[in-house]
Amino acid sequence: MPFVLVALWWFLSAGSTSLYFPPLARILSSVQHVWLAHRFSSDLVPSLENLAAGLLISTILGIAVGLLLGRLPVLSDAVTPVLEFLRAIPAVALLPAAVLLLGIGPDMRISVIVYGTIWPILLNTADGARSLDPILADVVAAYHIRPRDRLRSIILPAASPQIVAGVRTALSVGITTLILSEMIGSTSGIGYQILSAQQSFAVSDMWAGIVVLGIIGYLLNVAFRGLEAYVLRWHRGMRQLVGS
Amino acid sequence: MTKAVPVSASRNGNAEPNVAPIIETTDLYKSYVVGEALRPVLGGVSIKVRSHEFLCIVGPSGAGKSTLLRCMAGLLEPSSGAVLLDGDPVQQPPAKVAVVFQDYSRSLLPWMSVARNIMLPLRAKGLSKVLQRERAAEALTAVGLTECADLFPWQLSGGMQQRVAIARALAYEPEVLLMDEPFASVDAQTRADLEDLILGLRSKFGVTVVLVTHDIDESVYLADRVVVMSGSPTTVRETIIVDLPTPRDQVSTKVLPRFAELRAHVLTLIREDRRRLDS
Repeated sequence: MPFVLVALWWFLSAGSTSLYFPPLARILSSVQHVWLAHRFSSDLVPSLENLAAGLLISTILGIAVGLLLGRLPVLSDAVTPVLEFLRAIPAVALLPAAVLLLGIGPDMRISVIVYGTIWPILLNTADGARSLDPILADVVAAYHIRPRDRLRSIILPAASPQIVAGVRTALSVGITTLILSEMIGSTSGIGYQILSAQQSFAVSDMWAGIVVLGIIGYLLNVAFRGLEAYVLRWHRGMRQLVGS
Repeated sequence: MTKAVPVSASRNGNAEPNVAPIIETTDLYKSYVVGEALRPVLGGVSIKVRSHEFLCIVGPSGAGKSTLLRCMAGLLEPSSGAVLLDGDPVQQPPAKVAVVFQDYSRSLLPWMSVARNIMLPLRAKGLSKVLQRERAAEALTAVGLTECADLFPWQLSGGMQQRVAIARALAYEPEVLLMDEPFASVDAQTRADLEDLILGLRSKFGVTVVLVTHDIDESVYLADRVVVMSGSPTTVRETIIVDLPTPRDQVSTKVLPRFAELRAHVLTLIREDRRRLDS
């Protein structure tokens, strides 16, 4: 099916003289000559690096703070209203302020990505860590499981399905935030190049950027699903067994 | 042979041995707060468990047997009275005690292999990785699951999962093994197999076993002594010495007239109690 659609696009657009919908052949050649050539290291790689750094920071921070909130109800009750307020502000709405405070460097973009992606990870982790099965709590007490084993071998794996779901959400939020931050406050990156191509009527370059973005999103999803299948192999196996 | 012998029994502990008990409860009371009311569950329970004996606590469902066991395990604080282990009051779960819970599917960790489930409590004992692995392998062999070390618990049948839970308790090398309705969620044949397994392990390792059950046949078949709980709040109705020959056998023990007598006696006690509650 995907091949049929691409083929259809190829042939229908082949003779196109429209300014806005150039032939697919031209878009692909732009992908090859622009995005996989000089812009690969000047725009593509830095964009992906920022995305990776942002996601890494928010995953680590989100899990750490989430565990803390999940295990300390008093703390959780105290800060939840604040968190709910902060979370309600879309990260992209903070872009102008972030540009003002942090300039237009990678620091600004990473910060905004962290702000946008940390919430699903943090809240899901807190949720997953909050409720330990009372029988497991008895096991922990009866067998004197050490605190660090309790965290590493019981609470964290028990919360892992929810944590992974949070990271999956964060991934798509992260891409959106990255692109927008590059469109608004940057002089490089995929988002910036797409916008500047549009503004200089380099329409096939613009489409090429969008296609590249689609491919990146797709590949990231595939990679993430692989990671998920490995981390949650016990969960999947157990569910399949119950379902059968 | 045994037909003329009366059921040796007593109210509140005349059948208790005079040897110093390994674990003992003295006048244990426990109430739960339900809404605004205080619901008493245990109403002064005194039980003495002798070293190396197999004690079954039997009573109707909802009689607070599990509450009693959780108090003995140090998992629950009694409202008053005390649990003594070797004469010392139990404040928190003692290292000499291992517990097997009823719900094996929830008491084992689904994200860990069978072997790692057994090894986890051993980390706290400061054992080296090698020693942990060795002990886990020995325990698995003892319960007949040598081949299953690297599987996940949920890949095993219910009976096998409960064997893993028993292996985890054994590897912990406890002096007292507390079992809370351990065979209540498996089918009849598996249940009989597990009963014999636990009898075999007990005579092999000499561990003291306290097993809570609502199954009268099971209590008489397994125990050296049966403690019958009744009433609301629960008290010890009677303690019965099970003078059946050992080793026990699912067929030849259960056809003994003495088995039927003991069984009938326990059943009568529980029935009387039910009638009294109903009226």
